[in-house]
Amino acid sequence: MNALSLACHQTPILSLDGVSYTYPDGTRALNQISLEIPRGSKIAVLGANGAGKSTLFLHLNGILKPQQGQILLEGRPVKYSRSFLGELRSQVGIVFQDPDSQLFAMNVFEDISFGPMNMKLPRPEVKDRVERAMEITRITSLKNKPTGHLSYGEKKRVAIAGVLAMEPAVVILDEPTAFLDPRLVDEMVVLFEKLHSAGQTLIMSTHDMDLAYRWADYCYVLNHGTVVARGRPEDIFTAHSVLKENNLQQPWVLKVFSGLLSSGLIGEGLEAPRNEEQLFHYIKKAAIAPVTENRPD
Amino acid sequence: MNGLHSYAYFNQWRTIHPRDKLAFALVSMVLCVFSPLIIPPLLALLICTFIIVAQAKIPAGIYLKFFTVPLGFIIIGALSVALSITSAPSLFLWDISVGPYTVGMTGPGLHHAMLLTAKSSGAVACLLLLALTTPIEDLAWQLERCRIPYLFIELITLVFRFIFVFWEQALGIHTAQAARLGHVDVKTGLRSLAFLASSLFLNVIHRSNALYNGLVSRNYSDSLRVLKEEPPATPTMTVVGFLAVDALLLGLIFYRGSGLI
Repeated sequence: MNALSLACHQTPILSLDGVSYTYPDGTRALNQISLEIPRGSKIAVLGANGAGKSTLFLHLNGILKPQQGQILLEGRPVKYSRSFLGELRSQVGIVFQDPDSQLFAMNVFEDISFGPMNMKLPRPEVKDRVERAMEITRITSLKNKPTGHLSYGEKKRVAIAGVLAMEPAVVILDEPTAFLDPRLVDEMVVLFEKLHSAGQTLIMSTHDMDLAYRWADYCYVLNHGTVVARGRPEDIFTAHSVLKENNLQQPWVLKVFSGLLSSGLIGEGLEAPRNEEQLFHYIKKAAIAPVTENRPD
Repeated sequence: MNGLHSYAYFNQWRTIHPRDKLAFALVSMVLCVFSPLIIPPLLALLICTFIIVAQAKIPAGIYLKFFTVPLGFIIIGALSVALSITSAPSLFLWDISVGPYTVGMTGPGLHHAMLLTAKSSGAVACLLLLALTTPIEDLAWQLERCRIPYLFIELITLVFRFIFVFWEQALGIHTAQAARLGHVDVKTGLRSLAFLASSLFLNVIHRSNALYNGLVSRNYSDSLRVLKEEPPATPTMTVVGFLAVDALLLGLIFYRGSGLI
């Protein structure tokens, strides 16, 4: 029925059960949130600024503790003891939106080694992991560079490598493509696909509707700390009321698709295209064999 | 400030093992400071300058710029040693009378001042040799090996990292203010500076919280442990050079009676 049903037979890697959180200044950031993150999924978390996405992420990693409800890691309720938090944080990594809030060490290699060193791994293992993380994020050439001298895009990749080196089961990406140029965004998406095909569970928040639509296999829409909609991207992004109420927009692929449909240039009954290739395919087919039944004559 | 950091990273002597550089700089500095003669520290000054400019390829202008600040202090210090003020004129090489007082320079005073200048300049050159060719992370690592308490080294690391965060923030706010005529005249400029200072502090509190969350999410518990990679060993000839220079300085200091003063 939906992407979740594929994974129904196994316990979700992470789930939230009625979690609420209010900041000390009175802002109710999360309100009775329940959701599941199946293993190996690509989840997009959508919503306007201030909808509670970042607060949600801080909960998934145990930095914030729910005031109500609970979080489950592989079905076990998260305990906020030192040892459990250690396990949770090795399993769930967050790449923060601002790489400067993550990079603290003086050079790239050292910064990436921080997480694995905290996991008390043996040194050769740490070195291996750092090298692998640098390779997959394509920053091996930056190895000895000082973190302060990197460009924004480079810092971003170092921040991702710092999380990947811990080899967590879940990687949370808080607006990973914000402020990146189009080529770097494409490279990021390629990287995420690589991680996904290696079995990595990914959770991403983004304001890039086109990216969310073509990338995710499941979406959660947050509004004022509540999950107001959930489902496959093709369902979420064709529900006009959901888009309107949550400051979201339709991806261009769907806009073109509905334009073509309403002007009768392509036939009814086609499934919404997930990406531009699929849309171009529809257009090509329509050009070769024009739809006739809708013509006035 | 940013310059020092860049040169420390991108110079031809970056690859020399920090342990050897640290040892050479410290030993030479101690020899300069304790030298009773003028020649050894001057020789150290020459050698360090040669290494910095010709070997590490730090532009001479940059080296001079970093030398000027301590040089200012050295000159002020030397002047205060060389000049003496008295109401009873004595054996002055040179003097000038101001009312009832005489300001002048005596032979021993002059010699003392010259020795002081030579010692301090030599020591500063040794320090710059280290500072301009060795990034702080290498130094911190050596300090760790010297069993300096870890808390202290972490503080150095974080303070150093935050200098740049501070600097970038301040620069950003300043530019934003200037773009809206915030620095059009002195009065507005001062007002803007006050705003800059207050928002900088709020910003930095916010940033340090964010950094803390970032560290905690990577399992930070009590110490900022990172993996250090051992750099390749220093070429033997360089080590021999270090030893030779320090032996020469030491020899000169103990070889009195040659009339070298």
